[in-house]
Amino acid sequence: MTTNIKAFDKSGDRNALMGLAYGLQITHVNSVQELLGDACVGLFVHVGEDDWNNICRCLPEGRFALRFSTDGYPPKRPEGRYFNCFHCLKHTKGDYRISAAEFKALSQAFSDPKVAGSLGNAILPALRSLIRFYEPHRLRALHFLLQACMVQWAADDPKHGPCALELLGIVYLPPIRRDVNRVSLFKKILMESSAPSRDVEKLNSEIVEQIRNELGVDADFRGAPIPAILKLIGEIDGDVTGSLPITWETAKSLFEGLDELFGVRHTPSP
Amino acid sequence: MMAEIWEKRRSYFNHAWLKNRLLVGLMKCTRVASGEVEDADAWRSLANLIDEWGRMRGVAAAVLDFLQERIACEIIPDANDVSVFGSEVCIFLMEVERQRWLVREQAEKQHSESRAALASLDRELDQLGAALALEPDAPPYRLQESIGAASRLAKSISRLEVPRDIILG
Repeated sequence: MTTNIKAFDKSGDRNALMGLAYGLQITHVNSVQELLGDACVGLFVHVGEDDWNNICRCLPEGRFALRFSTDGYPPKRPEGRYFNCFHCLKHTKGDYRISAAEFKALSQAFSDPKVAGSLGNAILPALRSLIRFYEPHRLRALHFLLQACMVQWAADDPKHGPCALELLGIVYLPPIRRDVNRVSLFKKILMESSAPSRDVEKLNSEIVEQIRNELGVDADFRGAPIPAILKLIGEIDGDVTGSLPITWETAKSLFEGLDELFGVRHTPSP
Repeated sequence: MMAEIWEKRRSYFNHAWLKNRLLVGLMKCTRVASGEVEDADAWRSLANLIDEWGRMRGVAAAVLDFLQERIACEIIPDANDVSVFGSEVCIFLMEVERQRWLVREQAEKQHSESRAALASLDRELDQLGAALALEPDAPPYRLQESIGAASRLAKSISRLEVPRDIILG
Protein backbone atom coordinates (compact mmCIF):
# COMPACT_ATOMS: atom_id res chain seq x y z
CA MET A 1 0.00 0.00 0.00
CA THR A 2 1.40 3.42 -0.94
CA THR A 3 0.40 6.36 1.19
CA ASN A 4 0.99 10.06 0.96
CA ILE A 5 2.01 10.13 4.62
CA LYS A 6 5.28 10.39 6.46
CA ALA A 7 5.88 9.75 10.12
CA PHE A 8 8.16 10.91 12.90
CA ASP A 9 8.35 9.18 16.26
CA LYS A 10 10.59 10.83 18.83
CA SER A 11 10.91 7.57 20.76
CA GLY A 12 11.92 5.51 17.71
CA ASP A 13 10.07 2.64 19.39
CA ARG A 14 9.30 -0.13 16.91
CA ASN A 15 6.46 -1.31 19.14
CA ALA A 16 4.67 2.03 18.92
CA LEU A 17 3.96 4.55 16.12
CA MET A 18 7.14 3.69 14.23
CA GLY A 19 6.18 0.02 14.09
CA LEU A 20 2.63 0.80 12.96
CA ALA A 21 4.02 3.09 10.24
CA TYR A 22 6.48 0.44 9.01
CA GLY A 23 3.59 -2.01 8.77
CA LEU A 24 1.96 0.22 6.15
CA GLN A 25 5.22 1.16 4.45
CA ILE A 26 4.92 4.74 5.66
CA THR A 27 8.30 6.44 5.49
CA HIS A 28 9.76 7.38 8.83
CA VAL A 29 11.82 10.60 8.84
CA ASN A 30 14.41 11.82 11.34
CA SER A 31 12.97 15.13 12.46
CA VAL A 32 9.93 17.38 12.49
CA GLN A 33 11.83 19.84 10.29
CA GLU A 34 12.21 17.16 7.67
CA LEU A 35 8.48 16.47 7.83
CA LEU A 36 7.58 20.13 7.53
CA GLY A 37 9.95 20.53 4.57
CA ASP A 38 8.38 17.56 2.76
CA ALA A 39 5.36 17.74 0.46
CA CYS A 40 3.46 14.74 1.89
CA VAL A 41 -0.22 15.32 2.66
CA GLY A 42 -0.36 13.60 6.03
CA LEU A 43 2.05 13.76 8.98
CA PHE A 44 1.78 11.11 11.69
CA VAL A 45 3.77 12.21 14.70
CA HIS A 46 4.69 11.25 18.23
CA VAL A 47 6.31 14.45 19.49
CA GLY A 48 6.74 16.69 22.54
CA GLU A 49 4.93 19.99 23.09
CA ASP A 50 7.52 22.23 21.40
CA ASP A 51 7.56 20.18 18.21
CA TRP A 52 3.77 19.96 18.17
CA ASN A 53 3.42 23.72 18.59
CA ASN A 54 5.87 24.15 15.74
CA ILE A 55 3.81 21.88 13.50
CA CYS A 56 0.60 23.75 14.40
CA ARG A 57 2.31 27.06 13.61
CA CYS A 58 3.92 26.03 10.33
CA LEU A 59 1.76 23.37 8.67
CA PRO A 60 0.29 24.93 5.50
CA GLU A 61 -3.24 24.57 4.24
CA GLY A 62 -3.85 21.30 2.44
CA ARG A 63 -1.55 19.29 4.69
CA PHE A 64 -2.72 17.51 7.84
CA ALA A 65 -1.04 16.33 11.02
CA LEU A 66 -2.19 13.63 13.41
CA ARG A 67 -0.54 13.39 16.79
CA PHE A 68 -0.25 10.07 18.60
CA SER A 69 0.70 9.29 22.16
CA THR A 70 1.51 6.14 24.11
CA ASP A 71 -1.61 6.73 26.24
CA GLY A 72 -3.83 8.41 23.61
CA TYR A 73 -5.32 11.89 23.88
CA PRO A 74 -8.64 13.07 25.30
CA PRO A 75 -11.08 14.66 22.84
CA LYS A 76 -9.58 17.89 21.48
CA ARG A 77 -10.67 20.39 18.88
CA PRO A 78 -8.51 20.67 15.76
CA GLU A 79 -5.48 22.93 16.17
CA GLY A 80 -3.20 24.76 13.73
CA ARG A 81 -3.56 27.86 11.63
CA TYR A 82 -5.87 26.02 9.27
CA PHE A 83 -7.45 23.71 11.87
CA ASN A 84 -5.52 20.90 10.24
CA CYS A 85 -3.78 19.37 13.27
CA PHE A 86 -5.59 16.54 15.06
CA HIS A 87 -5.10 14.20 18.03
CA CYS A 88 -5.69 10.45 18.06
CA LEU A 89 -7.67 9.04 20.99
CA LYS A 90 -6.15 5.57 20.81
CA HIS A 91 -2.99 4.42 22.57
CA THR A 92 0.03 3.35 20.51
CA LYS A 93 1.08 0.80 23.12
CA GLY A 94 -0.45 -1.49 25.71
CA ASP A 95 -3.80 -3.25 26.07
CA TYR A 96 -5.86 -0.48 24.45
CA ARG A 97 -3.47 -0.11 21.53
CA ILE A 98 -4.79 1.04 18.17
CA SER A 99 -5.43 -1.92 15.85
CA ALA A 100 -3.79 -2.36 12.45
CA ALA A 101 -7.19 -1.89 10.78
CA GLU A 102 -7.82 1.36 12.64
CA PHE A 103 -4.35 2.64 11.78
CA LYS A 104 -4.96 1.77 8.16
CA ALA A 105 -8.26 3.70 8.19
CA LEU A 106 -6.41 6.74 9.53
CA SER A 107 -3.68 6.46 6.93
CA GLN A 108 -6.24 6.23 4.13
CA ALA A 109 -8.02 9.35 5.37
CA PHE A 110 -4.85 11.37 5.91
CA SER A 111 -3.43 10.43 2.49
CA ASP A 112 -6.28 12.11 0.71
CA PRO A 113 -6.40 15.93 1.02
CA LYS A 114 -10.12 15.97 0.18
CA VAL A 115 -11.00 13.47 2.90
CA ALA A 116 -8.62 14.91 5.48
CA GLY A 117 -9.87 18.41 4.64
CA SER A 118 -13.40 17.43 5.62
CA LEU A 119 -12.35 16.26 9.08
CA GLY A 120 -12.63 19.73 10.57
CA ASN A 121 -16.38 19.65 9.90
CA ALA A 122 -17.39 16.04 10.30
CA ILE A 123 -15.59 12.91 11.35
CA LEU A 124 -15.94 9.95 9.00
CA PRO A 125 -17.77 6.93 10.47
CA ALA A 126 -14.64 4.78 10.24
CA LEU A 127 -12.66 7.28 12.31
CA ARG A 128 -15.19 8.10 14.98
CA SER A 129 -13.58 5.99 17.67
CA LEU A 130 -10.17 7.46 16.80
CA ILE A 131 -10.68 11.22 16.59
CA ARG A 132 -13.17 13.18 18.65
CA PHE A 133 -13.53 16.90 19.37
CA TYR A 134 -15.92 17.08 22.31
CA GLU A 135 -16.20 15.72 25.83
CA PRO A 136 -19.43 13.77 26.27
CA HIS A 137 -20.67 16.02 29.08
CA ARG A 138 -24.23 14.87 29.09
CA LEU A 139 -23.41 11.19 29.07
CA ARG A 140 -20.93 11.75 31.87
CA ALA A 141 -23.68 13.45 33.91
CA LEU A 142 -26.08 10.58 33.18
CA HIS A 143 -23.40 8.16 34.31
CA PHE A 144 -23.02 10.04 37.61
CA LEU A 145 -26.76 10.02 38.18
CA LEU A 146 -27.18 6.33 37.36
CA GLN A 147 -24.30 5.38 39.66
CA ALA A 148 -26.17 7.05 42.50
CA CYS A 149 -29.45 5.38 41.47
CA MET A 150 -27.66 2.04 41.65
CA VAL A 151 -26.60 2.86 45.22
CA GLN A 152 -30.24 3.50 46.09
CA TRP A 153 -31.30 0.20 44.54
CA ALA A 154 -28.46 -1.59 46.30
CA ALA A 155 -29.57 -0.17 49.64
CA ASP A 156 -33.35 -0.28 49.36
CA ASP A 157 -34.44 -2.88 46.83
CA PRO A 158 -34.17 -6.52 47.90
CA LYS A 159 -34.92 -7.74 44.37
CA HIS A 160 -32.40 -5.69 42.40
CA GLY A 161 -30.06 -4.70 45.22
CA PRO A 162 -27.51 -7.54 44.81
CA CYS A 163 -27.27 -6.95 41.06
CA ALA A 164 -26.92 -3.19 41.60
CA LEU A 165 -24.12 -3.76 44.09
CA GLU A 166 -22.35 -6.09 41.70
CA LEU A 167 -22.64 -3.57 38.87
CA LEU A 168 -21.26 -0.84 41.11
CA GLY A 169 -18.33 -3.04 42.12
CA ILE A 170 -18.14 -1.55 45.59
CA VAL A 171 -18.16 -3.24 48.96
CA TYR A 172 -19.45 -0.44 51.18
CA LEU A 173 -22.28 1.85 50.23
CA PRO A 174 -21.59 5.55 50.77
CA PRO A 175 -22.93 6.66 54.15
CA ILE A 176 -24.78 9.62 52.67
CA ARG A 177 -27.77 9.05 50.42
CA ARG A 178 -30.23 11.31 48.68
CA ASP A 179 -33.19 10.54 46.48
CA VAL A 180 -31.73 10.91 42.99
CA ASN A 181 -34.00 8.58 41.08
CA ARG A 182 -36.27 11.40 40.01
CA VAL A 183 -37.37 12.23 36.53
CA SER A 184 -36.69 15.92 37.17
CA LEU A 185 -32.95 15.24 37.54
CA PHE A 186 -32.79 13.17 34.37
CA LYS A 187 -34.72 15.85 32.53
CA LYS A 188 -32.22 18.45 33.68
CA ILE A 189 -29.43 16.51 32.05
CA LEU A 190 -31.11 15.35 28.91
CA MET A 191 -33.60 17.95 27.96
CA GLU A 192 -32.71 21.31 29.38
CA SER A 193 -30.87 22.52 26.30
CA SER A 194 -33.59 21.33 23.94
CA ALA A 195 -36.41 23.59 22.87
CA PRO A 196 -39.68 22.74 24.66
CA SER A 197 -41.58 20.30 22.52
CA ARG A 198 -44.37 17.82 22.96
CA ASP A 199 -43.39 16.13 19.75
CA VAL A 200 -41.59 13.09 21.16
CA GLU A 201 -40.06 12.05 17.86
CA LYS A 202 -38.67 15.51 17.24
CA LEU A 203 -37.35 15.70 20.79
CA ASN A 204 -35.71 12.28 20.48
CA SER A 205 -33.99 13.11 17.23
CA GLU A 206 -32.77 16.44 18.64
CA ILE A 207 -31.29 14.79 21.71
CA VAL A 208 -29.72 11.97 19.74
CA GLU A 209 -28.20 14.51 17.39
CA GLN A 210 -26.78 16.50 20.32
CA ILE A 211 -25.31 13.38 21.91
CA ARG A 212 -23.87 12.27 18.59
CA ASN A 213 -22.22 15.66 18.30
CA GLU A 214 -20.75 15.33 21.76
CA LEU A 215 -19.37 11.93 20.91
CA GLY A 216 -18.70 12.37 17.23
CA VAL A 217 -20.52 9.10 16.55
CA ASP A 218 -23.31 7.69 14.45
CA ALA A 219 -26.58 6.75 16.09
CA ASP A 220 -25.74 3.09 15.67
CA PHE A 221 -22.22 3.41 17.04
CA ARG A 222 -21.77 0.59 19.52
CA GLY A 223 -19.88 2.63 22.10
CA ALA A 224 -22.77 5.05 22.56
CA PRO A 225 -25.80 3.51 24.23
CA ILE A 226 -28.22 5.55 22.13
CA PRO A 227 -31.08 2.96 22.16
CA ALA A 228 -30.94 2.86 25.96
CA ILE A 229 -31.02 6.66 26.10
CA LEU A 230 -34.07 6.74 23.83
CA LYS A 231 -35.78 4.25 26.13
CA LEU A 232 -34.99 6.50 29.07
CA ILE A 233 -36.36 9.54 27.25
CA GLY A 234 -39.53 7.59 26.49
CA GLU A 235 -39.96 6.89 30.20
CA ILE A 236 -39.27 10.34 31.50
CA ASP A 237 -41.22 12.08 28.77
CA GLY A 238 -44.34 10.17 29.73
CA ASP A 239 -44.15 11.48 33.29
CA VAL A 240 -45.66 14.89 33.78
CA THR A 241 -45.16 15.04 37.54
CA GLY A 242 -41.37 14.95 37.33
CA SER A 243 -41.25 12.74 40.39
CA LEU A 244 -41.67 9.12 39.24
CA PRO A 245 -38.57 6.93 39.34
CA ILE A 246 -37.12 5.42 36.21
CA THR A 247 -37.37 1.63 35.92
CA TRP A 248 -34.64 -0.83 36.86
CA GLU A 249 -34.51 -2.35 33.36
CA THR A 250 -33.92 1.00 31.68
CA ALA A 251 -31.38 2.13 34.24
CA LYS A 252 -29.44 -1.14 34.21
CA SER A 253 -29.10 -1.25 30.45
CA LEU A 254 -27.98 2.38 30.23
CA PHE A 255 -25.66 2.07 33.22
CA GLU A 256 -23.86 -0.90 31.66
CA GLY A 257 -23.54 0.96 28.36
CA LEU A 258 -22.12 4.05 30.04
CA ASP A 259 -19.73 2.01 32.18
CA GLU A 260 -18.41 0.53 28.97
CA LEU A 261 -18.24 3.91 27.24
CA PHE A 262 -16.25 5.46 30.08
CA GLY A 263 -13.95 2.47 30.38
CA VAL A 264 -14.95 1.65 33.95
CA ARG A 265 -13.36 -1.61 34.91
CA HIS A 266 -14.55 -3.83 37.70
CA THR A 267 -11.76 -5.30 39.79
CA PRO A 268 -12.46 -8.02 42.30
CA SER A 269 -12.64 -6.69 45.82
CA PRO A 270 -9.91 -7.88 48.16
CA MET B 1 -12.00 20.88 37.56
CA MET B 2 -9.32 19.88 40.02
CA ALA B 3 -8.97 16.53 38.25
CA GLU B 4 -8.23 18.37 35.02
CA ILE B 5 -5.49 20.43 36.66
CA TRP B 6 -4.10 17.27 38.29
CA GLU B 7 -4.00 15.55 34.90
CA LYS B 8 -2.00 18.43 33.42
CA ARG B 9 0.41 18.43 36.35
CA ARG B 10 0.83 14.69 36.15
CA SER B 11 1.52 14.91 32.43
CA TYR B 12 4.01 17.76 32.94
CA PHE B 13 5.96 15.72 35.46
CA ASN B 14 5.67 12.22 34.10
CA HIS B 15 5.57 12.69 30.37
CA ALA B 16 7.34 15.96 29.73
CA TRP B 17 10.08 15.66 32.38
CA LEU B 18 10.53 12.14 33.76
CA LYS B 19 10.09 10.14 30.54
CA ASN B 20 11.16 12.68 27.94
CA ARG B 21 14.03 14.35 29.76
CA LEU B 22 15.40 12.44 32.73
CA LEU B 23 15.10 8.95 31.28
CA VAL B 24 16.36 10.12 27.89
CA GLY B 25 19.32 11.84 29.62
CA LEU B 26 20.12 8.75 31.69
CA MET B 27 19.95 6.46 28.65
CA LYS B 28 22.17 8.76 26.68
CA CYS B 29 24.81 8.61 29.43
CA THR B 30 24.61 4.83 29.34
CA ARG B 31 25.36 4.88 25.63
CA VAL B 32 28.16 7.40 26.14
CA ALA B 33 29.61 5.28 28.96
CA SER B 34 29.59 2.17 26.76
CA GLY B 35 31.28 4.09 23.92
CA GLU B 36 28.26 3.62 21.67
CA VAL B 37 27.92 7.35 21.08
CA GLU B 38 30.05 10.41 21.74
CA ASP B 39 28.56 13.40 23.51
CA ALA B 40 30.85 15.61 25.55
CA ASP B 41 27.86 17.35 27.16
CA ALA B 42 25.97 14.25 28.24
CA TRP B 43 27.27 14.15 31.82
CA ARG B 44 26.86 17.88 32.34
CA SER B 45 23.30 17.69 31.02
CA LEU B 46 22.61 14.85 33.42
CA ALA B 47 24.00 16.88 36.31
CA ASN B 48 21.64 19.71 35.32
CA LEU B 49 18.70 17.32 35.28
CA ILE B 50 19.63 16.09 38.74
CA ASP B 51 19.71 19.72 39.88
CA GLU B 52 16.19 20.12 38.49
CA TRP B 53 15.05 17.11 40.48
CA GLY B 54 14.66 19.22 43.63
CA ARG B 55 11.85 21.15 41.94
CA MET B 56 10.39 18.25 39.97
CA ARG B 57 10.23 16.06 43.07
CA GLY B 58 7.92 18.73 44.50
CA VAL B 59 5.67 18.46 41.41
CA ALA B 60 5.54 14.66 41.76
CA ALA B 61 4.79 14.97 45.48
CA ALA B 62 1.94 17.39 44.71
CA VAL B 63 0.50 14.86 42.24
CA LEU B 64 0.54 12.19 44.95
CA ASP B 65 -0.72 14.58 47.64
CA PHE B 66 -3.81 15.24 45.55
CA LEU B 67 -4.40 11.51 45.19
CA GLN B 68 -4.04 11.10 48.94
CA GLU B 69 -6.57 13.86 49.49
CA ARG B 70 -9.05 12.14 47.19
CA ILE B 71 -8.53 8.88 49.08
CA ALA B 72 -9.14 10.54 52.43
CA CYS B 73 -11.81 13.17 51.80
CA GLU B 74 -15.11 13.79 50.08
CA ILE B 75 -14.95 15.78 46.84
CA ILE B 76 -16.16 19.36 46.99
CA PRO B 77 -18.57 19.77 44.07
CA ASP B 78 -18.13 22.27 41.27
CA ALA B 79 -20.14 25.49 41.70
CA ASN B 80 -21.89 25.14 38.36
CA ASP B 81 -22.98 21.58 39.15
CA VAL B 82 -24.32 22.75 42.51
CA SER B 83 -26.38 25.43 40.76
CA VAL B 84 -27.97 22.75 38.54
CA PHE B 85 -28.44 19.82 40.92
CA GLY B 86 -28.21 21.34 44.41
CA SER B 87 -25.43 20.87 46.91
CA GLU B 88 -26.63 17.73 48.70
CA VAL B 89 -27.30 15.79 45.51
CA CYS B 90 -23.91 16.81 44.11
CA ILE B 91 -22.09 15.67 47.24
CA PHE B 92 -23.84 12.31 47.02
CA LEU B 93 -23.10 11.89 43.30
CA MET B 94 -19.44 12.73 43.91
CA GLU B 95 -19.18 10.35 46.83
CA VAL B 96 -20.52 7.42 44.80
CA GLU B 97 -18.01 8.23 42.08
CA ARG B 98 -15.22 8.38 44.67
CA GLN B 99 -16.19 5.08 46.30
CA ARG B 100 -16.24 3.29 42.96
CA TRP B 101 -12.87 4.81 42.08
CA LEU B 102 -11.35 3.71 45.41
CA VAL B 103 -12.19 0.07 44.70
CA ARG B 104 -11.76 0.04 40.95
CA GLU B 105 -8.36 1.70 40.86
CA GLN B 106 -7.15 0.20 44.14
CA ALA B 107 -6.29 3.77 44.92
CA GLU B 108 -4.58 3.27 48.27
CA LYS B 109 -2.32 0.54 46.93
CA GLN B 110 -1.45 2.56 43.83
CA HIS B 111 -0.74 5.59 45.98
CA SER B 112 1.62 3.78 48.32
CA GLU B 113 3.42 2.10 45.42
CA SER B 114 3.96 5.47 43.77
CA ARG B 115 5.21 7.00 47.04
CA ALA B 116 7.72 4.16 47.39
CA ALA B 117 8.84 4.57 43.77
CA LEU B 118 9.28 8.31 44.30
CA ALA B 119 11.38 7.75 47.42
CA SER B 120 13.47 5.17 45.59
CA LEU B 121 14.23 7.52 42.69
CA ASP B 122 15.03 10.25 45.16
CA ARG B 123 17.66 8.05 46.82
CA GLU B 124 19.15 6.95 43.50
CA LEU B 125 19.44 10.48 42.13
CA ASP B 126 20.95 11.65 45.38
CA GLN B 127 23.72 9.08 45.04
CA LEU B 128 24.13 9.69 41.33
CA GLY B 129 24.38 13.43 41.92
CA ALA B 130 27.04 12.89 44.56
CA ALA B 131 29.02 10.61 42.21
CA LEU B 132 28.80 13.15 39.39
CA ALA B 133 30.01 15.92 41.71
CA LEU B 134 33.13 13.86 42.43
CA GLU B 135 33.79 12.72 38.86
CA PRO B 136 31.99 15.12 36.48
CA ASP B 137 33.42 13.58 33.29
CA ALA B 138 33.59 9.94 34.24
CA PRO B 139 30.81 7.37 34.05
CA PRO B 140 29.26 7.39 37.50
CA TYR B 141 28.12 4.36 39.35
CA ARG B 142 24.47 3.40 39.70
CA LEU B 143 23.36 4.64 36.28
CA GLN B 144 21.35 1.47 35.68
CA GLU B 145 19.81 1.66 39.14
CA SER B 146 18.67 5.22 38.43
CA ILE B 147 17.16 4.15 35.10
CA GLY B 148 15.33 1.33 36.86
CA ALA B 149 14.00 3.62 39.58
CA ALA B 150 12.94 6.31 37.07
CA SER B 151 11.18 3.71 34.89
CA ARG B 152 9.34 2.26 37.88
CA LEU B 153 8.14 5.70 38.96
CA ALA B 154 7.06 6.60 35.40
CA LYS B 155 5.10 3.36 35.10
CA SER B 156 3.53 3.79 38.51
CA ILE B 157 2.46 7.40 37.87
CA SER B 158 1.13 6.49 34.40
CA ARG B 159 -1.28 4.06 36.06
CA LEU B 160 -2.79 6.64 38.42
CA GLU B 161 -6.29 7.94 37.94
CA VAL B 162 -8.34 10.32 40.04
CA PRO B 163 -12.14 10.34 40.25
CA ARG B 164 -14.04 12.70 37.96
CA ASP B 165 -15.08 15.83 39.82
CA ILE B 166 -17.28 17.56 37.27
CA ILE B 167 -20.82 16.41 36.51
CA LEU B 168 -21.93 18.80 33.81
CA GLY B 169 -19.08 21.31 34.02
